[in-house]
This record gives sequence, structure tokens and C-alpha cells, in this order.
Amino acid sequence: MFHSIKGKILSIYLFLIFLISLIASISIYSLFNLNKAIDGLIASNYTSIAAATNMIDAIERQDSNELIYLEVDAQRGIRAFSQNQQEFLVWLNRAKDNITENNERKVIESANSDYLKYIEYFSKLQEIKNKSGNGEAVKFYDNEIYPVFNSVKSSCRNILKLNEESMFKSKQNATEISRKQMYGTIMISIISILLGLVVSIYFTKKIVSPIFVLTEGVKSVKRGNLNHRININTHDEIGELASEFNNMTSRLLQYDKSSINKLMVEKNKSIAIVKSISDPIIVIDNDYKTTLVNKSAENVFDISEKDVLGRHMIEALGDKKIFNKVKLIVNNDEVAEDNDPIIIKKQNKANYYMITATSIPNDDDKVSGTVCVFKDITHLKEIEQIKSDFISTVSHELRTPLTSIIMGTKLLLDDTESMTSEQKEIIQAIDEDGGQLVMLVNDLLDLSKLESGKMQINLEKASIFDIAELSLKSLSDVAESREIELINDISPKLPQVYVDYKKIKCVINNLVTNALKYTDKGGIIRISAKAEKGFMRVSVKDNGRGIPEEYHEKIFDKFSQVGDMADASGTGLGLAITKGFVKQHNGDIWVESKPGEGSNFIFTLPLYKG
Amino acid sequence: MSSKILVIEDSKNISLLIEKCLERNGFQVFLAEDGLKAMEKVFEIMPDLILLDILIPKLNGLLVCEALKSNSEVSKIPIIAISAKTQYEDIQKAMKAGAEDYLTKPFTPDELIMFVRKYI
Repeated sequence: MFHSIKGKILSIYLFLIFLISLIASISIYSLFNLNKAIDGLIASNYTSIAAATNMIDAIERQDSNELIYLEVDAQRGIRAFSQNQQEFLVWLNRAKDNITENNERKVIESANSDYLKYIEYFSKLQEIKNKSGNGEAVKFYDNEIYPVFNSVKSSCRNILKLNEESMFKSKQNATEISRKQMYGTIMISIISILLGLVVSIYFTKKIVSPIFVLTEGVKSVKRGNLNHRININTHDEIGELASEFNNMTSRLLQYDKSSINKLMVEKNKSIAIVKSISDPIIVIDNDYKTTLVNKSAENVFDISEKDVLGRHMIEALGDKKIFNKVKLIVNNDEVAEDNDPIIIKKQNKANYYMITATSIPNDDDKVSGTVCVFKDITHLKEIEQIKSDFISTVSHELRTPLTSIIMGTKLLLDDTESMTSEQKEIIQAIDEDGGQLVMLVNDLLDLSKLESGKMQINLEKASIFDIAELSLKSLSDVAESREIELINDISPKLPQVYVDYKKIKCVINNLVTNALKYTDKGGIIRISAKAEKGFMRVSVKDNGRGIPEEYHEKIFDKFSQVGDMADASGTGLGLAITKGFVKQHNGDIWVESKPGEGSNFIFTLPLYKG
Repeated sequence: MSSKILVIEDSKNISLLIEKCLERNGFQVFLAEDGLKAMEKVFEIMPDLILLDILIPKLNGLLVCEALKSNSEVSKIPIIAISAKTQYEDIQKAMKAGAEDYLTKPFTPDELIMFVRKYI
């Protein structure tokens, strides 16, 4: 019972009740003692004092009675004398019954014996008076009775004095007792208060201190210290709580360990996967500090993982360009790829890598790091180079025989009079397709130049109105023959553009030629432009057949065809070259179109900035 | 007297067609199929114009051009370089070697005559 907090508090209460009872008993005992002392003071001495006083009164009256007997009326004197004698004896007996003091008995006894003598002498006085007359009686009275009277009186006075002294002593005694009791009670009260206080504080502390230990334990666990055990060995409710708390934390620890274990397995798996990937991978945190480098990255960048872990990417790779690219990608989008590969030279061989950066989300959907994959595209680059070289070589090699074909057919066509109409037709077919072949070779060459970055660009300020005007003029004959209206809607007041004049003329030519091909008789082709956001936005819009949405991107690819709209007269490279030219100007090109509603080809060009 | 044009071209087919084309337009045509022969012929004929293919055997067309331009006797004869190469650098090289003009293959008879007429 006393192990529980309830029991402990109850025991403190019981102890305090015991203390209070003790003080109460002691106080009652003291009061009793005091009462007894006062009681004695009144009871014991007061009777004796009263008796002594009355005895003095009685004897003094008897003395007067004797004088009355002698001088006035004998009968009355005797009667009064015996009356007062009775009274004296009553008080004497009272005094005898109430002997309290040491010498009192002796004094009373002497008073008693003196008084008996006094009464005896009064009898004698009566005899003398009767025998010898009043004169002898008076003499006897003066010589014998009066000294006895005085002796009795003094004895009575002694009784009085004795008791008065005793009474005074008793009073002093009572005062002393009350004083002592008071001090005693004060002392005991102080001791009890102190004891009560000490016991209360001690036990309260004993009860409360485990709560503090428990609180500290909870705080420690909150900070993640699951190993914390609360050391409370009491058998009360708090002890029970502490042991349950310890159970809970050990269960938590168990759970934590098993989850950590699972996480570690998953983490090791991920690391093993990353390490085994043949493309270089570098994982960085939000401060661009390296957190993981795989084998391939170690080889490619000639670094060792343990040397670069925790170091900034620039420091780790010794290359600011890579960092800048990664930073650009990271800041742009969640997953992004840079189209411009980085070049890493190793043993005098240039290797090309495409950087892909994927952010690592944490549980709050915030980014906790980035995985940078360096896709090795060296092989692709080599193939691209071979392809480009091949196209270039083939086109050059084709040029010389093409010259013969062109020259030959043209020379023959100069003199057709001697030919049959069949011969003339054949020559014309050769001439037409020869021309087509020249266009194809030229386009292929342009495209290979664009793709390999060897295409020259001569930027100069120019008026987009003038370029469009020139372009439309060169195509006006074709348009007229097909009864299509060409409209230059560009304002000559627009700001100037900063472009390669020939190429942009070629772009507009290509777009208008295309529009002419896919617009029916009576159609309208309109060129417009407006300056916005630092760019010139040029639009070539027709009201022709239009292009289905799924081809909007594809049409800018090489040799692409829109459905069954076979382009018999083109090379299939026109839009790819057009796009290449626009891209060379850092511009963009796209199409807005719906089948049956015509097409709107839009491209942007840089403005001339002083 | 019609103007004399020296055609330095290793492709027989092309030199034949150029010859026919120029003759039809009233020019007197002489042919040379490599660099060395060309050098001889220039001094022998003293043509009014030279059509020079860059890619010719024995002596490269660019070298022929430089050699002719550095000789005061023949340096005034205009030279039109002919090549299948269309790169900007190739044209630059020919111009640097002293060629007056640059004609890329393939070309039509009209284009050829237009180029020639610029100098004769």
C-alpha cells in the first residue's frame, strides 16, 4: 500500500496527523497541570485562610464576650462566649481537616491546646468571679487569660500567614509551570513544524523527482536517442510508467533498427546499380558537393571517389564548364538534358558526353540532390561525322558528272530542230531530273554543313520587309501562273533584324514555295511580321490544305512526308534546311495548322541592337 | 580574231562540253588536262582567259594559279577557278591564289558564258 504515490501521500498525512495529535496531547497535559496548580492554590490554602480569619474573629469576639461578662452582663457574656466557642471550634476543625503545609499541624495543635487552655481559664474566671468577686476576676483576666488569648490569636495568625505564604508560593509555582509549559509547547511546535516540513519536502521530492527523470527521458527520446533508458526503480505508478516507457523505446529502437536495415539494403542495392552502370554518374547534393561517383566516372574524369567525396563539383572535376552546364540544367527543370555535349579529352581523343540531371526528391517534395549522368555519345558523334563526311564526299563526287549531264542536256536543248519530238522529250526529262539532282545535292550539302556546324553565317542588319519583298518577287511568276495571290503585309517601318540576308531569303523562299505547292487556285499567301520580346516574329500564312497535328513536328525532319501528300518537285530537305537556317540565328520555327484551314509557318529572328 | 580561252580540266567529258559550249559562242578553245601541261600552254598560247579546275593532276590548280599570277608576263590574264568544292574556305583559297572568279560545279552553259563574258 505504501509503495504507491497514493500510499506515500497518505503516509505523509498520517505522519502530520500524528505530529498534530502529539502537540495537542502535550498541550492538553500542560493545561491539565496548570489547572491542577491553580486548583491547589485555591482549594488547599483558601479554606485554611478562611478558617484562620474566622478563628481570629471568633476569639476576638470571645474576648469581648469575656469583657461583657466581667463588666456588663454575665449571662449575655457567657451565652455569646459559648456561641463563639462553637464557631471557633468549627473553623478549627476545618483547619485541622485541611492541613496542607509542613508546620501547619504543629501550629494548629498549639492553637488547639492554647484554646483549650483559654476555655479552661474562662471557667476558672467564672469560678473566681463567683468566689472572689469581679476585682479578682479582672486580675485573673489580665494576668492569665489575656496572654493565652494572645497566644491563640498569634497561632491563628501563624496559620493565616503560613497559608498566605503557601498560597503565594503556589501562585509562583503555577506561573512557573505555565511558563515552562508555554516554552515546552513552543519548542515542541517548532520541532514538529520543522520535522513536518523536512518530512514533507523529503517525501514530495522523492515522489516528484522520478517525474523529472521521466521528463528528461522523454526529451532525450524526442531528440532521437532511442537508446535512452529511464532508471527509476520505485514500485509506484511512476515506476510502472517508466518501465512501460522503457519498453516502448526499446520497441521503437527495434523497429528503427529493422527499418534502417531495410533502408541500408535498398541503399546498397541502388549504389550497386549506380556503380555498375557504364556511363559516368556523379551524384551531388544541393550545394553541388559530390556524394557519389561511380567507377566509370572515376575512369573518365580521372578521379577517385574517396578523394572527391564531399567536395564541390568544380573542385572535384577541376572543370567549371561541366559545373555550369549541370547548374543550368538543375535550375531549369526537374529532368533536363542539355543538347550541347561536353567534350572530355583523354589520351588525345575527344570524347563527347551528354549531361542528364535528375533531381532526387525527399519526402517533403523538395530536392535533396541531383544525379548527373554523362551519356557517352562519342560513338554517335563519330558516326555522325562519318555520315557528314560521306554526304560531303558523295555530293562533291556527284558534282563533276552532274556538270556533264547538265552541260550536255543544255547544249543539246540549244539545238532541238534536228531532233525528233521523242528525242526532244527524252532530253527534256534528263534535263529536268538533272536539275532536280543538282538541287538535291546542294540541299544535302547544305544540310551536312548545318549539321556539322560548318555552315558560315554572315550576320548584318537588314530590313525584313526588303527580304520578303525580294523573295516574293522571285516567286511572283510561279504564283501568277497558279493564280495564287502573294501579299507582303510587313510594315517597312519595323525595326531591323540582324541576320544572314541570303539565308533568310532562302527561308522565306522555301516557306512560300511550300505554300504555293499546297495551296489551290485562287488562294492567298500572306507574309506578316511583328517585333516582340527582342525578336522579330515572321509569319507565312496560306489558306491551303493544312497539315494534320501529328505532322507539325515531323515536317521539319529530313525526307519527311505529310501523309499521302507526296512532294514530287521537292527534295524533302527544304524544311529541314529552313529550320537549320533559323536555328543558326538562334531563332525558332514552328507551324500552326489544321487540315482544310491552311497553314501558318512562324519563325523568329534576332533584332538588330545598335 | 576571236578570243582565246584555255580550259585546264582533267575530266575529258567536261572539257569536251565546255569546249563545245564556248565554241558555239564564238570563242577559240585550247585544252590542257594537267597542271604541268597547262603551264606550258599558257605561255605558248597567251590566252585571253583561263578556266582552271582546282583538282587537276601533277600540279594543283591553286599552285598553277599562284605561279601564273606571280609571272608578270601572264599575270594579267583573268583566271576563273572551277571546282566541285563549295565550302567558303575553298573559295577563299582560290581567291587568295589570285583567281578572279570562282565557278562551282555543276553549272549550266548559260552560267558559264555569263562568267566568261564578264572578262572578255
